[in-house]
Amino acid sequence: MDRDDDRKNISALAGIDRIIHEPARLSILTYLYVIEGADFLFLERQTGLTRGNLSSHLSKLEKAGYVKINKEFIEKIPHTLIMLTDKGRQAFRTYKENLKKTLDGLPD
Amino acid sequence: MIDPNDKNLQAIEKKIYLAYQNDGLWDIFLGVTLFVSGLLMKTDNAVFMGIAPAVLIVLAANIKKSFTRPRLGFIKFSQERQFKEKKRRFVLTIVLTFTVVLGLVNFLAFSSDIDVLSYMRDLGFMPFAFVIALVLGSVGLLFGMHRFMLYAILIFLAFLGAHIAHSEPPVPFVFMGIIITIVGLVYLVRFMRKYPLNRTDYGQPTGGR
Repeated sequence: MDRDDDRKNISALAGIDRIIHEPARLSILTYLYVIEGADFLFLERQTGLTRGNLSSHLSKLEKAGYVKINKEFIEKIPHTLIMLTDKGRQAFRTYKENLKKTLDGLPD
Repeated sequence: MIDPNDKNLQAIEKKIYLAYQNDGLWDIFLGVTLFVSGLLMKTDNAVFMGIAPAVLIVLAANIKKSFTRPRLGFIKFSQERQFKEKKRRFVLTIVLTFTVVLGLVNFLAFSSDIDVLSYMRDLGFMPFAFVIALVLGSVGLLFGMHRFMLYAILIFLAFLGAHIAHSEPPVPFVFMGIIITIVGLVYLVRFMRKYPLNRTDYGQPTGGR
C-alpha cells in the first residue's frame, strides 16, 4: 500500500461522526439499531450507564435528530419509548462503514 | 433492518431476544406441568392432565409480563423479528396440532377396543414421550432455546428407561418435572441477580430528562 492510500484511509477518520463516536452513545445506538425501540430501563440495564448519564446522552442524540423519544402508555403503565430515527439509522450505517473502511485499510 | 451479512449485529439482536427467554420461567412452567401431570396420574386424575398445561401456560404468560419486563425493560422488536416470530408460531401451531391428534389417538388406544390401535397399548407412554420430545425439540430449534432440545432428549430417554424397566407411568413425569424445575430455578435466580428490581415504575426516567 502506498502513502497516498494510507493518507486517504486516515483522512476518512475526519469524516467520522463525533456524536456517534463516543462509547456510551455508540452503545446506545447499537442496541437501538438492532431493535425497533426500547424503553429507558432496557437501555440503562444493557449499557450499564447511570440514569443521569443515559439521560444526558439521549438528549444529545435527540438534539442531533438520531433518536426520538415517545412517551406512551402500555397496559396503563407510562413508558418512555426510545427509537432510532431514519436519520439516526443512516448515520449509524455510514459511521460503521467509514470506521470499517478506515480500520481495514490500516496496515497490520 | 439489519444487514444479513453482519453477524455481530445479528448476534446482539439474538442476545437481546434470548435475554427475554432466559429468565427460567418457561423451564419452571414445563417442569411444574410435568410434575403436576405425574401427580394427577398417580392420584387417578389423569383426565385433568390436558387442563393443567392450559392453566399453567396462561399463568406463566402473565407472570412473565409482570416479572420479566419490569426487570429487563421493554423492547419493541423489529418487524423482521416479529415476522420471524409469527412464522415460528405458525410452525409450532402445526406441531402442537399434530401432538393433540397423536395424543387423542394414544388416548383412544388405551380407552377403547379399536383393534387398529391395539398395538399402541404395548408401547405404553412412548408415543406420548415422542410428542412431548417433538414439541420441546421444535421450541428449542425455532426459538433458539437450545436447552429445550436437551430436555426433549432427556424426556424421551426417561420415558424409554421407564418403559424398559416397567416402572410406574408417573415416575418419568415426576422425575423430569423435578429436574427441569430445578434448572428453571437456577436460570431464574441468575436472571434476578443480573436484573434486580430496584424501581417501582419502568421505562420512565425519574431524573435528568
